[in-house]
Amino acid sequence: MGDIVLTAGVRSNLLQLQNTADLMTQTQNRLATGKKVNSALDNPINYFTAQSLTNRANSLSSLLDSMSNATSTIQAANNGITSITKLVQSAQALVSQAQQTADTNTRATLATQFNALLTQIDELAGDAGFNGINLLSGDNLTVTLNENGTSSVTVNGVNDTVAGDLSIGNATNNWAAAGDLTAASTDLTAALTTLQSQAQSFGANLSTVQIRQDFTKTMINTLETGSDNLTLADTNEEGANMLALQTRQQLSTTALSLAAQAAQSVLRLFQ
Amino acid sequence: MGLKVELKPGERIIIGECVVTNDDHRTRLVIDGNVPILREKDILTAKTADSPAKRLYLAIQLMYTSRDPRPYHQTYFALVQDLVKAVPNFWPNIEAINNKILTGEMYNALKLARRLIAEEQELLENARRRESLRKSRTGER
Repeated sequence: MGDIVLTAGVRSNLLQLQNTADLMTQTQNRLATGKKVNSALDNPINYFTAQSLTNRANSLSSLLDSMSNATSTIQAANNGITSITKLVQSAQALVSQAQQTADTNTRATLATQFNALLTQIDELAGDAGFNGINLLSGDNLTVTLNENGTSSVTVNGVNDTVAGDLSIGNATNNWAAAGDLTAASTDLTAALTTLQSQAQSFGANLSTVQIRQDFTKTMINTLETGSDNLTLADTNEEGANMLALQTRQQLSTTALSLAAQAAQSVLRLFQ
Repeated sequence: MGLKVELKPGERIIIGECVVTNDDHRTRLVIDGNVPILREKDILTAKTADSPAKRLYLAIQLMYTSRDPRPYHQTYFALVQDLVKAVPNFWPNIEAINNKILTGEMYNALKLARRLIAEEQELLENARRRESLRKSRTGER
């Protein structure tokens, strides 16, 4: 039997039929999975972008853990500073108490109490760590903000021991002379100032990390919905969607609150 | 070495939390320090931000010019959601913007947002052209 020869017309019809069959499997596949792009072959660019979005969400989630650890570490240091400040203030009270009496025995007792307080300060500074990092005993904390590590915030540790940054001397000479007391008093005032500025810088670092943390959390959510949407992307629909969004958004609450926010910002000067 | 800015007569510029208006001569300023700086041509207001991508730009601009960006994050993400739902193909761009905001490079985020506005413009023009084509075709019947 000879070969059946197909005319050009029949051949093109056959091709079309095959295409339709392909389209039907594709549609069924989409219906089954709910996604228009199921494999790299359907739409390579969207497929890989969607996949990288999902990957990104995952790697950001792990960053989020390290950010919340960092927040706790800074908070621990902050609490440490608050407690140390209280101890320094108690020490100040001891000094002024000693200044009010001339009795050497009382002064000696107060001096012993003073030294005991200083030991407590050192112990507190040693215990202000979280997860192995203690910002009050010289450890530095690096918080990574993106997944390739190109952006990070480093919180420099301090050394809040009596012999370190606080530099408070032990009670000398059992506080017998007025000069001994003045020396202690000067040390304490300086230590308080140091503590205050440390607390300020930790506070600033804490709010930086917290802002990034909040942002990352919301971003992960958007990334997850984003990757699903992208696999559904149809470039022909996008233009129409955009026009619709343009109209719809004009009266949306988001646009209204944006306008209100702009009116409260520096932009109000820009009329 | 500060940032050099040249202002035309009457041109305005945001430096930190104030608006500086140039008088009737050309002025050259050298600005040192770490505050948000935004030239008049790069500033959108609630009135001029009249499209989804421009609104996104405005939200980023508000984050850039304010001390505490947190109140604007919610608005920003609401706008992002709207935008990627309508045009998923904007994702790679928005992703890049997100990343800049996350790492605190707000000025670069604004630059990328400007690119997004250009893309949106193109898309809207195409859509309008197609719509008018369809209308004229149905008109012929």
